[in-house]
Amino acid sequence: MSDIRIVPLGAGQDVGRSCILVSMGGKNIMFDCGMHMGYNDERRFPDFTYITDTGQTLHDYINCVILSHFHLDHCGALPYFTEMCGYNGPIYMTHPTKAICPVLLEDFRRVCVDKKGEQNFFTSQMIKDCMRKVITVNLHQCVKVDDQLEIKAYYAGHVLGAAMFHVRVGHQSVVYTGDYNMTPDRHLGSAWIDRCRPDLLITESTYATTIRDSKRCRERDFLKKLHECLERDGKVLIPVFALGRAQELCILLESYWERMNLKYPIYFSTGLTEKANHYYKLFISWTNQKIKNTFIHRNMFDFKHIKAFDRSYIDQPGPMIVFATPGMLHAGLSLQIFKKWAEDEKNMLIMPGYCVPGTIGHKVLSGTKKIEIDKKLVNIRLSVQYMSFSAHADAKGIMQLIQLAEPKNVLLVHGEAAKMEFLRQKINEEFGIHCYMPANGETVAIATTPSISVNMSSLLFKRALEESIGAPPSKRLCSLPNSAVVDGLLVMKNEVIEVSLLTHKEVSDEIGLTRHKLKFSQTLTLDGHFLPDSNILELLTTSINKLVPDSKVLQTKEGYGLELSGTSVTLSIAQFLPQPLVNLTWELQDDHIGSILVMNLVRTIPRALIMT
Amino acid sequence: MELVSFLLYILLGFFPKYCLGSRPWQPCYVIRVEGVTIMLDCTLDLFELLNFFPLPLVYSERLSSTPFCELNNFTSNEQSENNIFREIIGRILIDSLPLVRIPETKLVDFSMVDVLLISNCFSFLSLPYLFEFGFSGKVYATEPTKQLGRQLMEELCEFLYRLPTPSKNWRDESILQSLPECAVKTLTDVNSWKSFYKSDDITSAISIVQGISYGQKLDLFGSVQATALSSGYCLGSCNWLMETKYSKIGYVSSSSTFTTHPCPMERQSLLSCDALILSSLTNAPSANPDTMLGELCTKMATTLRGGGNVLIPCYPTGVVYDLLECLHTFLDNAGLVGVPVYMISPVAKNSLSLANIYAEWLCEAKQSKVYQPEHPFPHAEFIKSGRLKHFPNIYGDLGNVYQTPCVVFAGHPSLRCGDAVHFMEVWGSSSKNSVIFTEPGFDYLHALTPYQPLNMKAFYFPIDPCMNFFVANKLLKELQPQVLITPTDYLPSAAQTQKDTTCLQPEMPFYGVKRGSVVKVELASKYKKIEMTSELASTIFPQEINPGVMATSLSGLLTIRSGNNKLHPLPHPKPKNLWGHTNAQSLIEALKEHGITDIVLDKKNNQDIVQILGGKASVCFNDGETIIQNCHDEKLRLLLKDMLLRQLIQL
Ligand SMILES: [Zn+2]
Repeated sequence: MSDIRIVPLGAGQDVGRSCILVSMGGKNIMFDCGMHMGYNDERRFPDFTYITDTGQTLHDYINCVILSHFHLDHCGALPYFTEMCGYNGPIYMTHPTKAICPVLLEDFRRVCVDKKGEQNFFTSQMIKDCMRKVITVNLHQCVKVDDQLEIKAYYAGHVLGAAMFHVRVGHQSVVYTGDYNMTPDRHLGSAWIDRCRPDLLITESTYATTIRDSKRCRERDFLKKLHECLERDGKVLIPVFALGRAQELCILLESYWERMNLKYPIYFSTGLTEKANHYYKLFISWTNQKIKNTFIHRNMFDFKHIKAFDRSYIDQPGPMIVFATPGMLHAGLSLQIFKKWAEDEKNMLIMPGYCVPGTIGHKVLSGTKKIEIDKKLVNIRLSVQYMSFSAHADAKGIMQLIQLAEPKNVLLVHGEAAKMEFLRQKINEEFGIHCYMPANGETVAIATTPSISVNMSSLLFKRALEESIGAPPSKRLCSLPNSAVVDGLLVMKNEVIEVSLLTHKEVSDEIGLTRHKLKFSQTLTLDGHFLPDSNILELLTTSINKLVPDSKVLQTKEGYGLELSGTSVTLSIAQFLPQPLVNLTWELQDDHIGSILVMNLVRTIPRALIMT
Repeated sequence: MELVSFLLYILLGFFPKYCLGSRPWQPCYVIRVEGVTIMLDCTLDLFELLNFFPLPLVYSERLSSTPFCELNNFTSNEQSENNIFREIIGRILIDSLPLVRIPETKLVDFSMVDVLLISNCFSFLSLPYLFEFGFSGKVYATEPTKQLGRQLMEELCEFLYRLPTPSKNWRDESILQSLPECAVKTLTDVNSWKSFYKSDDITSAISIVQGISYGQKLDLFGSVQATALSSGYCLGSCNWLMETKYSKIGYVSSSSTFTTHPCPMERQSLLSCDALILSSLTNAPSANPDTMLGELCTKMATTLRGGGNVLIPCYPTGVVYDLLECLHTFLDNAGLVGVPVYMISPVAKNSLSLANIYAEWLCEAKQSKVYQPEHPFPHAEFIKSGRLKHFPNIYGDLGNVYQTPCVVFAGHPSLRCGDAVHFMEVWGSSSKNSVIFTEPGFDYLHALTPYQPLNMKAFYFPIDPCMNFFVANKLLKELQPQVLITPTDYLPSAAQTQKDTTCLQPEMPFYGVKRGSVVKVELASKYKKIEMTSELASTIFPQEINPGVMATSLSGLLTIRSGNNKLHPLPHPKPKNLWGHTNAQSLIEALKEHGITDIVLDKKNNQDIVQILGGKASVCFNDGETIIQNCHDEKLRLLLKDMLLRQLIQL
């Protein structure tokens, strides 16, 4: 029961159809429910038979589904899962995700069913019914799914509304990152999490081996290439998804056009544009600080230079830039435009994000020069540029997040096996923690160490804090220490299940047990007469240092005596004449020191200084 | 001791028998619980604005010719120099920069306050003043509260400082004493009145406010966990739940059960609190907001049809969003389609824009609008279509579009500053026009004083969505707190029996409080919950010390973090301790068994001393300690030590 078990149904050593099943404390949680862009068969959706094969229904088995963000590889299978497989338990996501997710699902459905004529697909009504079951969460809000299961969302950057989720069951907890970005961009802030120390951090690893060069350089490069292409009368196609990077690139182009006073037309495909930008305006509070601060006077999502695209523009002469959906050239308008423009070497294709294997985007990027599209062979002559604008954390960012959250274990998903292996070793070396990278369907079990709940006496708590501050504390608690040393007595009574940690005084009050000290006291006589100017304390100190090598001897503030720092051992001169008497005392825990001094101290005082 | 109770200080409040009518409850409390000092709200009392003469936006012949009152004991020369007291219909108004009242500063040392928790945008206007009293704690408010509160501060700051107003010295004892008696009664404690803060103070105060979400658990120094719960009153408004590991304190202020624009009030989490502070009920208990809204619309229609203009003095946020929303439907239905609606405030644009980006904080119906995607509030569409126009003030572009008859929303509701002053001046002389008060925070008759004699019609339709007594009584029955803490004036007076619609009728123990009260509430919390790591648990071995009781000494490193205190092993555990008692007789018997019989037992002053072998060693038995003295025979010493240890338990 104290194990946390994880099995990826999708995104295990792969990018696409993210779906990770986590079991802890008797609860089963499903993170994301995505689809794979690279497949048209049953591999498109996660393999839910893993659950139904247990003989349980989906909602008996799963306590809740948590969606990280609106990208289809994270939410594309949700209507299938709820409306066609029959899950009807709770689904959690942020407000922007709930708003935008159905738009993308509907878009996707239209491409698959209306354009490609696929059968047995979810319907528009199913998308609506599915979204009705969604419960929204705010950032940092603690939401109780049931008595034991609690979830909390953190800002993830990446796309509007993307969130990481911290899920806790009893003393066990897991953080699932979804996709995230550790560097702020033009419209989003960077991911952040507090030091929540989960037992396990499940992180994406799209850019596991990449340390990306500065964003500024990448952007300058992108603008330069684009500008050059337009100047030589070329057309630029940028396949994007309607929401996400598209807005980031639009802001980038808009400000460049304004700065350079350019007039080349920029188009954005589909009627979704205006709607998409409207979502960004309504969810301004999820964007970065700069946009939030200025939106009242100038909303960054009111684009001046970017116009809606019309199909008739495809054959129009002259330079232009077109943003067209979808982003991986696997269907729809972007593919249509590509077909028309691909054979002209003046033109340019800019791929701003990752393409999963199997898509035309992936083929073009891997350098294929002849591609069959709709049963027609197309010669790829236009220049192809890959510019990573995907807002994923790179290796450095992933390490940063691990540093922030301080997990006890890390598990990598949403990446390629070979790259994961590299990162796995790096995490292991740098943080000395286990790092796992299961394939789809492979289970990882992580043992957690249960901690024991203790009722600590408020008095003891207060005293520990006081001692840690080193002074009677002011009434202010702002200056509280992060930690304090506690020393008390643990008491367990048969009839009460909980144990309590008490001060010594409370122990004597509660169970009649009192502290007792066992002390020792010896008077040592130093034989003979000392020279009048000899310092007895100095002589004693030298001897003690020889006999008890690690000791630190201090003169007592009052009287004529010595004490061994950090121990209960004290010496005091009881008499100087006729011969010096030294009174030595100690307590039981320092008996080994006391014993050594009693037997050897007198003997080791230098004889030369003693007149007989 | 304070760990098992909490102390509550009431720093603001209201003054029930005030000659200007009762003023609203102004929350500002400080509570100390589990060693943490928490301030709950820090409202600014704006009620004194009514004692001042309006700040005109343009020169007003009428206002500047308002007569001065006669000061007793002053020569006529002195009169003209010092006299800034104008007299209108028997009331004295001070013609100087208006002042406000801040919470009580002497009851609590503000530098001791660890945290300030804010309920809504109207309830923290004193924040910029706190720093001069040493406050340096953390401040938490929901994100909308923070942003809208800032708008309220900036609006008032602009109103008071946009034109230079001489701040004259009128608080001199000799001057005050020469005033007519009616003024002396209202001008109490004047030396604690403050001038309003400046723009820079607002910026720095707001910068330390940390924006949070509903349901976000805030860890206050590992001792108290605070959570903001939706209160249904206005955008981002909340109640606070403060939980220690063993007790639960609720703070309910300005809350509403009406279905208006905000997220509905969350009640579940407030069930069975150990103590509940209930504050800020409606200021218009006898007025139903829906009825008032209906009346407002009717009077507005009558005025507009008669060719008159309507002024609605208001704050730039809050109920005004609801008014704007229903106004257009109403105007359409009443056949007044073309009537322009103007909102005039330095922060009108900000406030209207902000309202539409906080969908998460709104009621379900508004929330779901963004999924369309549409603006949650229709005022965005009204602005787009030109039916609603907003302006920062009367000086600029308003003049280019201004048409009458029209409806104007403008501040300040006190009618002592802001653009509303101008419209009162311009429209006051015609009986065709109307001013309709909806904010119950100010006595509207007194607000009108400087504009008398007034031909304009004045109506008072207070719209306060906060709970009335009837709803609050129902809430108390539902929440069942152990103890209730509430303003004395909400409680039934002993003199007469009252109905549950006119006062609170708690069925649980309660404390009545007023400004300056200190209440101590006992809570049973002897323990704090901590977690012991399994690493530490594996190092300890409890011993049975009494039948059924096991114990062991335990030392560890306690980490204090996010309400989760954990005890870890120390690199060097602390030494064990001895427990129990020793006695001389047992030692003597053990020694005899060992063949040592030369023993003398001395008893003096309750102290037993055992002399062994003619002074070769002695053992001294005291209360709580046993001392082995002067034993130069190391074997004997170890023997004695062993025998004594057998009488004790080492834990
Ligand atoms: Zn993504």
